[in-house]
Amino acid sequence: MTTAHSPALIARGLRYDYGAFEALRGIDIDVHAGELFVLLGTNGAGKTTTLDVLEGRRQPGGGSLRTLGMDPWRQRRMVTARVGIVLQESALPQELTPLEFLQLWNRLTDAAATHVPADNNLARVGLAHRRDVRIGRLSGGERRKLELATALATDPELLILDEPTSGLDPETRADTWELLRDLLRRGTSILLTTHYLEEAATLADRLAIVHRGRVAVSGTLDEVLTAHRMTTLADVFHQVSTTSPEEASR
Amino acid sequence: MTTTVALARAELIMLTRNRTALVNAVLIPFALGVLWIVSDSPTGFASFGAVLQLLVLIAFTVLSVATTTLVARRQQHLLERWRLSTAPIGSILTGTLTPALVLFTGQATVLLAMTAYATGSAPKQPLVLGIALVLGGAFGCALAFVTAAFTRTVEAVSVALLPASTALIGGGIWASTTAPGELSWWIPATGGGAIAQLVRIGWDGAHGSAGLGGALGAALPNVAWLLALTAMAAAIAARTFRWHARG
Repeated sequence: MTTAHSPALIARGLRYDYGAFEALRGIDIDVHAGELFVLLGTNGAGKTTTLDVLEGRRQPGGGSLRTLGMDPWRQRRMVTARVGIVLQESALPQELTPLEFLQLWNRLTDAAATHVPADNNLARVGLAHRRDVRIGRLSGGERRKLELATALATDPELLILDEPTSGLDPETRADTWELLRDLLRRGTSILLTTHYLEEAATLADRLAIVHRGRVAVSGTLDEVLTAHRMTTLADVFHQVSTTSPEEASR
Repeated sequence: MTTTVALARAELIMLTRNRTALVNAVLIPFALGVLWIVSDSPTGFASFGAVLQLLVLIAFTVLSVATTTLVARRQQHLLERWRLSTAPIGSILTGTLTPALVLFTGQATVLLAMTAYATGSAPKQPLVLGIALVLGGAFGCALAFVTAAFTRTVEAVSVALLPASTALIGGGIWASTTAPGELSWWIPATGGGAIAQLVRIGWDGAHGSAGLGGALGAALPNVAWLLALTAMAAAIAARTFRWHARG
């Protein structure tokens, strides 16, 4: 377990290319132990690619990275045993039920990990009543909850969540926020991306705005607002994300 | 329960919940077998029939099902999901392809039994026939990995499979219709040719030799070709296979 002052994740100068397209052009991020860090950015800014690299699913083209003190690319299985991940896209087998899927997931993850029983996990995200319905018949919001339950299955030290509340109704989103706050109180570190600025303003201990493959702004909400002499996160976001490519590349 | 068995079990559950696929998987080999029985085929036709049936099964049940499964699981982001677990890569791939191999084994057993019944003959060298089944299944899986590596969507699978299916079935027919002494060295290099030769030796025995030793000796070059082709396909797949749906 990471200690209160040790970083859960440190990335310096991360680079990644899709052929000729430079998706990441030197990303710097620190996530402190026990904090909730929010990554913002427009579509295509590089958020999901950043998470892919931080999780060890893509090999960075440059820079340095430690996730829970390990190199996620070279020590992928050790990292994934201690990190809970929600992917941006739904990654669920349509023909299985939520209960069958979570039981399978518990078998596929490290035997030494602390597995949350599948039934308890479904209850925690409010899906107990849908445990025996095929996943293909669940609503988009219910599938999102199941993705979150999957990330929580091994009681992870670090959660990396790509738009975890996308498609959820306001009430369910509020329940998810409460669940995340509860995890923070128990010492879990959380890095999440979202397109909901009020979610970022409400939840984040610190946040960063990614623009064209670089971190354009980072800090606490107050620090970000003060630095830009603005009163709302939406104003800062608008200013950063309308920066021209020439300015962004400087 | 190991991770391989857990994944294979889940894949089999998913298969059994797709009724059309399940009914086709069970009915087609029986239908082919019945056709074989009622068609009053000449006695000497048994090994050619066995060759054709096995090659069709390798092309459609192993190669096609395995390629479609891999491409579909990648499109559904399930390959990425399984890689987020701590299961070894070998377990993920083996577990994912187990249903195709289970279907192939079951269908081949039914078809070969019905062929034997229909023609009143039995394989003279069942060990060589067994080797043909195992190596044919492994070669089909290796080809599926290579094809899946170069196939982005499920819709494109049937077209992407044409070269491999043609080499398998065409090479097999070519080898089966060529007299044993006139086979060029490169006919087994199609893969299908080597499988056809193994099935023919398994069913009829080796040309000019009655014993197991002679049969194994005659089978050896074809075994070597299949092992080499499988290793080559696996090496290409290891370099080119993609887990991500997104580039």
